[in-house]
Amino acid sequence: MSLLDKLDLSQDDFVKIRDFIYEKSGMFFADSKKYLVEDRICRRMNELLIDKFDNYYYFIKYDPGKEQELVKLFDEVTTNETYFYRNLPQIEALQEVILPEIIEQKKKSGSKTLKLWSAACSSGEEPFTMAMVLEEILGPSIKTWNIQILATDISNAILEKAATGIYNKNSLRSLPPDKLPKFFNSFGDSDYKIKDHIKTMVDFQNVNLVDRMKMRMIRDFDVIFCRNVLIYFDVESKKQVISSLYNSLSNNGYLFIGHSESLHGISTAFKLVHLKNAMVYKKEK
Amino acid sequence: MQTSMDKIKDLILSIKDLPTLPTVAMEVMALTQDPDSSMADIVTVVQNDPAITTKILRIANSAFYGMRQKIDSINRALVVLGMNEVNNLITSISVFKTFPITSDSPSFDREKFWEHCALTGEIAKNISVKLGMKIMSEVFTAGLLHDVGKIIMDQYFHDDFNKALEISFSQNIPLYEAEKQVFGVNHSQIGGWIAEKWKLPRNLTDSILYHHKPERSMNYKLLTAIVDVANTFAKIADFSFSGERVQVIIEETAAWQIIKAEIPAVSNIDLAKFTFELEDMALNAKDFISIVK
Repeated sequence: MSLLDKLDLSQDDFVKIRDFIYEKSGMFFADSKKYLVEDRICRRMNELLIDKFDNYYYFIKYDPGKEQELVKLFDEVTTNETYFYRNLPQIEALQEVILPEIIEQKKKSGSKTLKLWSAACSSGEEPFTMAMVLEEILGPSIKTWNIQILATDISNAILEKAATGIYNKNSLRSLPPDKLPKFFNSFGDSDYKIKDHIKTMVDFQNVNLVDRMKMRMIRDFDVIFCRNVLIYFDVESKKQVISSLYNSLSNNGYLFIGHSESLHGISTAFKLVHLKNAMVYKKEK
Repeated sequence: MQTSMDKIKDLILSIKDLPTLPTVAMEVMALTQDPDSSMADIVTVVQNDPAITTKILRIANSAFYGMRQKIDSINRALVVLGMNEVNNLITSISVFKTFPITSDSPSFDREKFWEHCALTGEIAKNISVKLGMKIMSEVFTAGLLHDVGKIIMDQYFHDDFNKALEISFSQNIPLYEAEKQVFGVNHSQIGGWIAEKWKLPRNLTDSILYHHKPERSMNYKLLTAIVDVANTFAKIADFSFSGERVQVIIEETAAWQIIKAEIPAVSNIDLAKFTFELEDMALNAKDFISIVK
């Protein structure tokens, strides 16, 4: 049998597999991502020596080994990498709408504590982005606030890398140009290092999101980012993680998940808030 | 005594070159409402306008309908799509003839404006399909035409309309409120007057007039509410002009509550997934515009 060069799905087949992926992972691929889905399924089919899409679809739906295959397919379709200011509309929503609203509420209630959590922080680009956004919003008055940015991951190796605050160009590719001199110093020949006043704002810790005990200790957060992680959990674990995150939020707090992810079928506790090009889940009792 | 509202209405309706819909649109509209007319009558009227005939056939064969069979004549279009659908298509196409996309206003980009309108129509259509309603074409047309009042404002009260746009951006308020400050009326009211003048069917007039206040429509609340929700989604997808910051819980809007009261199954719509699908709807909307313009 020869390997496939490329897969050319009919619109019906594409909708079938994208709806299946959505149902299993909560992750959605629009028509404009058809080429990506075709390309990655093609790779999986070649690896499995399957030459017809129908057979692959049957395999992933009914084969006893379907769970392992699902994880492999998700690994292929998610470009699992992280960078500063990843998904700009979400960051803009945080900077222009969500944080100003929270800060306004805090001022009214006389509180000066802000708590943000990057729940699957990987090499640290996300929590440092949060710190940069906060500094831009609050300006010099940031010194009058008690700011806690918690960054957690399950890999100690990646947490150690994150704590160095050293990044290569690839991590900076979505960074708005004016932020580079503001928040980074050159480091070595081609790398960059986060400036200390940003670096010290973030607290890195090892936390497994399915560890109920540990999750219970994390309370009263105003904003949680948990992007592009849920796909790796089965439905029951997803429900448990989301329920833990809900409990970790303060009332009127916000949860950001990946920009193409959904909590449909996972939780009804949150209110879905629509912003320009972004969705965010609100805890409102 | 005349109220100030009446004065504005008189002012607008007395504009000398206020556009009318092309004859073909008026005639077909009249024929579809006349029980004694036949399909052959409609075919004759439409075929007298080759430009519109070509556009109808291009849309009928585009992804907009996704038909498997080829539609190669107006006769065939009427059989396959139905009289109402063709009538609505003609109304939609006619509006583009009346208000061409080319305009030199720097602040009001007509192409973007019509993309917003077509996307609103496409979203409204998709909502009605998800609700199992069989009124696809009127829903699309209602969405497409909902903002027609803005074009009148831009064309005849250009400077004031610019001022309203500026206020909307600088004060971060909905455009219809800024218009009210400048004109005393907003675009939905003006659109409603034009729709009456054009003798558009009542459902379209209502959805133009009340698309920000669907609860005020007496007989077409559901359609008007669907257009309102679709308009909100189109703004979420960043197809909008006003400076208003979008932040909305769809399920808590008045429009959503109206739809829910009539069709409880609306609660089953997965709003996150629907939002992801907006990207595909935007492509269809752009296709539609590229064909009719």
